[in-house]
Amino acid sequence: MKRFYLPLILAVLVCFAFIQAQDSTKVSIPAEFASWDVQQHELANGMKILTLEDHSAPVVSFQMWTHTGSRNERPGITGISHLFEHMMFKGSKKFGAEEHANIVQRNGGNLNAFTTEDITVYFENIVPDKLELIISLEAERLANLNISDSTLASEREVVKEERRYRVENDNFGMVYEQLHSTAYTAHPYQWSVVGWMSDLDAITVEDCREYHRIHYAPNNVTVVIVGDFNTAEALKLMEKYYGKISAQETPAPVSTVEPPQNGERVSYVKKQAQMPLLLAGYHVPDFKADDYYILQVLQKILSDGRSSRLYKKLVYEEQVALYAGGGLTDTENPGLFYLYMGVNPGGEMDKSKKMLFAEIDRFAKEEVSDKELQKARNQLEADLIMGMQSNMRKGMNLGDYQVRGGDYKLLFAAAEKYQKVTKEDIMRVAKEYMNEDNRTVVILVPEKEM
Amino acid sequence: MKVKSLIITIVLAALVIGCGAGDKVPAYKSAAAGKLTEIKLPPITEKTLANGLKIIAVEKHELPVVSLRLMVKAGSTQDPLGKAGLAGMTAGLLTKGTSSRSATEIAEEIDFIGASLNSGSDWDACNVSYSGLKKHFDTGLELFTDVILNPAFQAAEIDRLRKQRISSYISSKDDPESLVNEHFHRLLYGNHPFGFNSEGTDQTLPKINRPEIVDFYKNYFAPNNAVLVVSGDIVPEEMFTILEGKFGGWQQKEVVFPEIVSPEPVKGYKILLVNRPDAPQSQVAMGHLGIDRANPEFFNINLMNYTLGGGGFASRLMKKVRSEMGLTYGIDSNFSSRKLAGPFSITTFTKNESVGAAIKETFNQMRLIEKENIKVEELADAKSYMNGSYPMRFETPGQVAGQLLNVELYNLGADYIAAYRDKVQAVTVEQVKAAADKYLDPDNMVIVVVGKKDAVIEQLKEFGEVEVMEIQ
Repeated sequence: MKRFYLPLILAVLVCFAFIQAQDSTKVSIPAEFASWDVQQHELANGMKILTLEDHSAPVVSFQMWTHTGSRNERPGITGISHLFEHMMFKGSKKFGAEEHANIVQRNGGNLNAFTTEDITVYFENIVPDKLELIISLEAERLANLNISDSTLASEREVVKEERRYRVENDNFGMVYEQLHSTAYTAHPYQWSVVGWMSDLDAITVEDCREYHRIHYAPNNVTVVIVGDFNTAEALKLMEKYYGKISAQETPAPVSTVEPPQNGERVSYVKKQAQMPLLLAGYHVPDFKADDYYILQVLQKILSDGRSSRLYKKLVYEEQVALYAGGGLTDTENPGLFYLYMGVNPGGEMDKSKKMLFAEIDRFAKEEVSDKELQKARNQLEADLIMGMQSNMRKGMNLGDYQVRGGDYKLLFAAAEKYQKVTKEDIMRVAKEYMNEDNRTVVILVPEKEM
Repeated sequence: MKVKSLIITIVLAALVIGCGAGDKVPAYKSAAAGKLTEIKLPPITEKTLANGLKIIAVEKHELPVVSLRLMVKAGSTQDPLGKAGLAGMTAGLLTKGTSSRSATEIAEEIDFIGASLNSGSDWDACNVSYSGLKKHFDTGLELFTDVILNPAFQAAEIDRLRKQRISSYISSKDDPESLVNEHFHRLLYGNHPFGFNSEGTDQTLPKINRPEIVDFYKNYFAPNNAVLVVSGDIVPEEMFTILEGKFGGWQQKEVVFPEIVSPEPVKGYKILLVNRPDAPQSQVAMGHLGIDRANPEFFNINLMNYTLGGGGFASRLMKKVRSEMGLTYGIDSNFSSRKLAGPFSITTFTKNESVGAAIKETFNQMRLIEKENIKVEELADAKSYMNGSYPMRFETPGQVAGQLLNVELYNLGADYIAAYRDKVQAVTVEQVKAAADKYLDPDNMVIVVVGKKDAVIEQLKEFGEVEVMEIQ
């Protein structure tokens, strides 16, 4: 499965899944999910709660979503959202550093957290009779986090190692960072989620405390609970542990708008390497725009599966690339439609690049076939259903729509919209967005000797 | 791919810490005690066909999805010397053409129904797996059966896949983790199959020819050497009839496994530094020979390893090297138990300047767990994690299928799942110490570092003689 390693890495650095629709009121729930009883609740302090009972396995997934990520940062404190995510494990009024994680594991639970450009999520998967424990632990660190000089000092070093691991010592990570810092000139998406090294060194305890106060207030948090539990009982527990936490002022909105790009930008990374890499990105609308669904269908035809255009042409027939594909960054503000390609060691970047862009240009020149369109629809339908096979994944999908889109039902609206995309739609968005002037290209040039 | 990528997002974006801080909060401590949650298995039915093919049906009706997985009990361990990658090529080629379909036709048909069909090899098994919506099951089953029973192994496809795997091997040198692992296994195992990249190398792949691939398939792909799991929204009796129709004519045969000579254990420290002059960070892998899956002390070793470095947030290595010293983002220890003894390895990464300190602390922790009994609370924590989380390993049909195939592959016995938690519970601190004594050997280790030579070499010399290698 090594071939798929790059797309997966992309998925990590990027935000995930789905898109939102603007009108949520007319959503028809697909038959597969008709029996789901998703409920929305809100505490007096503004915290939102989403519940879905599923008693088929003795597992509960508890997820605490904060609507904050690297887009809420500014130069000087880039990376604070992610560094802060680490600090959430470093102790509170009641517990010492790492004790939260230790207690969860001792009780048979799995836990973790992740940060993207738009959100930060903490989650536990555990057997049903431990739900109260989890609620009490999560509420404790939300309300009473203890940020000290000493824990920040050691965790800062851990995060710097993480940056070296994901970006500086990883060819693809470097190219990915450079794509964003080149494609964006104004918007916070120009820096990576992990932040710049000098900012990681500069962030202070006060920065962290202020960040916690504003962004980790209950009115900026949504809790999603999915699995083998009783909703009425869980709501009582939520009120008991979270109810007393005070609301804070709403975080400042992200107002910076990325200006239009009026010409191709090309950038190079020279590095000791065997494999030449290419990463390119086209500016596309935000995830609420109708065109976004069309671009997703286009993406399926371009690069999902071994019969997709890029795999067939570049990997299978011409054999110039070890892998090639495309995807969308799925961000809350306008994102990128990206292309990636690993050229076979010893191969020619120029030739491969021409073939890659020729495949993109085809979408603007000729209509996709009926069969390709139907295939893309079938793939999107199957993805939706097969992506719901655990409580955690159900919660992650629902939570993402709820938090970033304001309504979990948009998950199902997306399914409906994909089916309505036409061949003409695809040609139009290809012309509008996937053109040279709107493109940024980053190429990793291998240098054998340094 | 969006939904699929989500889990990977989460797994890779892992950003948590953990440590075994004592029990200051009795209320939270006691939460671990009490009755264990019952393991809730979906209905499981088995049938063995006359040709020896065992079929297991796992019934789960929440979603209209059906999955198939065939496990053939032979893998990269059976690659002959000089032919590393043979099992991987054989398995990989199954989906690349049959007697009636080209690779492109297979890809078109599978993609059109939004399903997945993949094949590959592991050390002990080759697997073919299919997953798709119930309404497309007939198409999926037809393709799944065709690639298993009628692979063509066309010369052009062999060449294409060979070229891809060589390319993949060469480019893996750009990834410090792949590089450190390759050299670690090479130094530890020499000419034993585990000493080579299981997917093959630029040296071995060119030497694999079509007759060898066909032979590998003929030798090992037999119904009596395979297990088939069908899971999801199914009716078992119906499935048995359908699958018997498809696989009933598959010919039974005698399967012969070659003898494999055990590797010699490493003496002293065998240290290799792979120079990457532009590396801002070093990748480290160290360890020695480990255990096979049939080891009678399997549970003792597992609990010991959880406390040492396998328990993620709760392990001693993570607590010391990450949480307290801030030297790394991740450190982990692992006994890879296979049919034959796999490696015991500890892997981490740290800035070039602190490689020596990270290795030293790792050795300290290995010696400590050998010398002194772990605390009763530590063992209790390890047990309560393993037993408390066990029911969650059976949440999805895919997870259940994986657990059942593991029991089949390693002959763990019909009562393995039911007895698992009692076996964990029975382990004592003395047994953990005995396991550390017997299965950890901090004085005899392979140590491989991929990093910047000038910044690292003096630190490594403290442990012994260092062999230096430049990346070609």
